[in-house]
Amino acid sequence: MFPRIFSSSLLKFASMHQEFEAVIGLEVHIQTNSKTKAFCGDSTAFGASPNAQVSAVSLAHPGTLPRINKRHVEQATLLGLSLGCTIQPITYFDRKHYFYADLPKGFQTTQDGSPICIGGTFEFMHNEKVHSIRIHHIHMEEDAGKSLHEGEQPFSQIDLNRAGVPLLEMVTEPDFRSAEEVHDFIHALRLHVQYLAISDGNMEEGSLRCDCNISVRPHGQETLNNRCEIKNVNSARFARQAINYEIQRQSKIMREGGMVDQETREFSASTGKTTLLRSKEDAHDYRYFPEPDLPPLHMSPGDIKQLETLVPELPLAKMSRFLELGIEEKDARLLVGNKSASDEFDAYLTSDREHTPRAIAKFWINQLMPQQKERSIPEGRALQKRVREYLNLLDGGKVNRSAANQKLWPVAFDSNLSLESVAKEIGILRDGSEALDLDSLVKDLIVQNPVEAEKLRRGKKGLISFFMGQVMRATGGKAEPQKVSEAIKKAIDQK
Amino acid sequence: MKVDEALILNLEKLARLSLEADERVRLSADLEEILQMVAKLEELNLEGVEPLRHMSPVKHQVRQDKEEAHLTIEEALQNAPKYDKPFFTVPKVIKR
Repeated sequence: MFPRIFSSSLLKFASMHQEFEAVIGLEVHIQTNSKTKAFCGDSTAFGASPNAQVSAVSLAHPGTLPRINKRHVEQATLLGLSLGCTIQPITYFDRKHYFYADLPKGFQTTQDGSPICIGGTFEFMHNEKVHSIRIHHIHMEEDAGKSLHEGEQPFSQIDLNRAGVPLLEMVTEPDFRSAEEVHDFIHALRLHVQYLAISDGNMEEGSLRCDCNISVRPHGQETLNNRCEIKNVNSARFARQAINYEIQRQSKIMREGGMVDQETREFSASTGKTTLLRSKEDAHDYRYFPEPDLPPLHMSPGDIKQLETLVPELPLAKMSRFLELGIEEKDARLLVGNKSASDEFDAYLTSDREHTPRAIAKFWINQLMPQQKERSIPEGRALQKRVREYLNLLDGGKVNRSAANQKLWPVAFDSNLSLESVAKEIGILRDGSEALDLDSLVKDLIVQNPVEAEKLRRGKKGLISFFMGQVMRATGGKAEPQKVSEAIKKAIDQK
Repeated sequence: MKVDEALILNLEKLARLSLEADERVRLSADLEEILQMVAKLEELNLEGVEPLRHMSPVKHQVRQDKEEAHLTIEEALQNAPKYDKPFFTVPKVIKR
């Protein structure tokens, strides 16, 4: 489905890279998770029947007045504060006009002249280093409805459930130099909004969409060349593909002595190419003007201060804290990449002083997180209690670790009994008689498998695992591998 | 400011109107008069004056993030010239 258009020309591309530098800026639209729309009380829940979440305001009936959603303002401010933006004490809204069937008012309510957040920087990991890009501003606006053009019918279908849904638009400075940087940025931004709990960051449902502005220039040139804007790219991978294609296209024009035309383009995931949407001459004239229906919005220093306290620990800070706790880097990265799992992990850490963070992290990643993916398991206290019980059971040597991981942990939440009782029920609890049994079991096995025993005695070490497997099968996985191996060696040497 | 035909044609396009030739002449004259009247403002010295963004001294009253009454699909569609429940329908448009 996605042609590998770059692999064939990688060499050419590498040499081109030395010749030209790409300059990229983004406009990212974040759909926030407020319960209702930006300017009226319609629900924003995903998946409702078409046109079931509309009102006189979102349908733009005459005589209706918008009122902004407090949550929308708070989320914009929170995002700004988390990135070191300056929050404007007074902001205004503007009308951006264009005609389209899924925009009932004939204009989008946005902030053209006075965005709520100005400046700031976004830091993220790129090539194992902290990379920083500047933010121009973040503003509040609303989404349009959806048009469906399916089938052969001569008409388009309009669903206005999305009309008026709150969006935050983040506009970056043109600080990106490669498609890879943009790719990593989008992933980091997605995690960032999940940490702030202002959006699910779900790209499949369109919660993060971006417009990419790209131009190329010879290395060392200070001024910017004409740029092209690629509209509505809805995943990090597509952004990478689209930008790489566009860098190639523009570089080719430059190399052939031409000039890139300023234009708006769109990316097709099926061809991996960008195509012309409209030229500069056809650019929209949006006729912005102040929205008279929305009075100025005031933010008091007190409001801002209070929101400041709601900025949580962010991914990069959490990552360095985990590393300081001695957690392995790859484990730390996996934990940080999953907000809810790392929150649960943190809560557990404070309640368990017996095990090292490193060991608990391993358990979280190898046992707990995979299980969470497959089924819903308890959270909070109930989860913590079970985890501690399990880790203590392993520590006490009452169960074999791998047998417990395979048989006991997967059913740990199916029963209200203590885990020790569950272990006994499924037959993996050690009752203290294994040591005795183990020697006679191994002796029996050697008698039953004389050929293998002889080979092992003559030095074919690999056969030890054959016997270990036999013992494990016979004991239902209860035996401790270390002890089995000792018993086998002892038995072989005795003969 | 001179209101020429090119400007009128562009405004026509932006407003999705199609005017007759005599209407264009009349409108040009009207527009020119309006612009002249507003041009008077340019005589003012506005050095150091903050732009007035809004006429009312009222502060915006925010709304709590609480669901309010919706229209039913039937109510939403009832004034539309064309619909195909649960959708509004419009002449086919593919590109913006």
